Amino acid sequence: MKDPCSQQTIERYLDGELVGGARTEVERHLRQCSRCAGALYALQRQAALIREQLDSAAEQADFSGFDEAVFSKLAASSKASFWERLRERWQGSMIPVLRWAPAAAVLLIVVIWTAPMLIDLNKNRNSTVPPKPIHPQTAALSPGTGNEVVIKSMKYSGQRSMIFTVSPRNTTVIWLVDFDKASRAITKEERQ
Amino acid sequence: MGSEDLQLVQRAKQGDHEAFGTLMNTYRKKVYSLAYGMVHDPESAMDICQETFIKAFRHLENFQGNSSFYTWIYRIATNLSIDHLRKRKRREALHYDDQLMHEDSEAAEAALTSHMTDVHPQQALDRKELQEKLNRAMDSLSEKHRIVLILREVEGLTYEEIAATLNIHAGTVMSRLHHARKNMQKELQGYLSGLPALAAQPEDEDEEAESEKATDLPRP
Repeated sequence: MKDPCSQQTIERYLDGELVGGARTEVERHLRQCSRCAGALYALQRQAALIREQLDSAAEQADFSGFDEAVFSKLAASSKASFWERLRERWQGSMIPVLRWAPAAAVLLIVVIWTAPMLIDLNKNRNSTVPPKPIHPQTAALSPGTGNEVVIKSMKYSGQRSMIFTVSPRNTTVIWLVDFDKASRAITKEERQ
Repeated sequence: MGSEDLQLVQRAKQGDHEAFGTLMNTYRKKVYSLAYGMVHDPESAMDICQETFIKAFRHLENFQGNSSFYTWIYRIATNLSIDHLRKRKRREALHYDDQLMHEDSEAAEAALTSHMTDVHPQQALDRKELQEKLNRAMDSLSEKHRIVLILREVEGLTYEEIAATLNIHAGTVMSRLHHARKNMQKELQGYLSGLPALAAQPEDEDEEAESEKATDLPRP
């Protein structure tokens, strides 16, 4: 057995945690060692002071109407909204980590949802390969001018067509183009 | 008592308010003692006591009988008391008023001693001083040390029962108890003077932390 003079041995003896031979050995030691006997007495007296104070507080407490108060609060709270009950359930969760699980799940979803957008933005910023201009008139739209656009869709309906473009700044522009007129203008320009 | 409690719990689960009332009568003073020991305010302790049984009734379906009813109810009361203390600390950090606090604590202690009308005035004063000293000594402990001291000295739980209540290892209970008692002795020197101090081995916070690391249960 450990040194019977040790603090922890005396505390375990006081708390009834020693049994059989170990307990007998400590009792024998206490009869011989006045220092340990005194330390044990101090612990017992301290425990008695704490117990007396808290027991006294409980004796003086007014429990009249206690049961009624508990049941009436239970009745009132049974009418609580679904969200209030859910909040209470999570606040009362015995496993603290579960309280943060919903917030963590939402954060994860947001990160997964926005990640592709962030990657796209980063790619555009870092892109060093300029797109080839298709037509002289697109020179104004060449890379580096900040005016490049992406044609998202084209719908041809005869003479006039709609072109949807999306700029790097996510501005959507709807062009209404009269291809016949545009074609005649280009030809005229080339002749000049 | 264990099997009686289980029967009452089974009946309460089926909506028998009388059965739950019996459980409340059995344990409300103990729960109040625990709450008062933690928060040192009669009104708050009563609120915590009521809230404990409200929570217990609402979550009765979670009590499977793997532990005793009182360790389960003490766990609820402990968590509520600690929550209350943390809310109070946050409020005090924002709106600290030394005078108001002093008046409140005096009022609380006056309420405790008011019943002693047949006690000699000097004895009443000594008692009040002792209560103040005890409260200060308990307040000097952290929540985790305070609760193990209360569960052991007042509620009389074994190390295993305290460990089950607080979801910690029995070795951690021992080391926290030792730390709590040592600190209480320092604070209560005047009332325990003339008696030998606890063992002179130098033990400090780091040693306690090391012992807790080694003996703590893995967290869920």
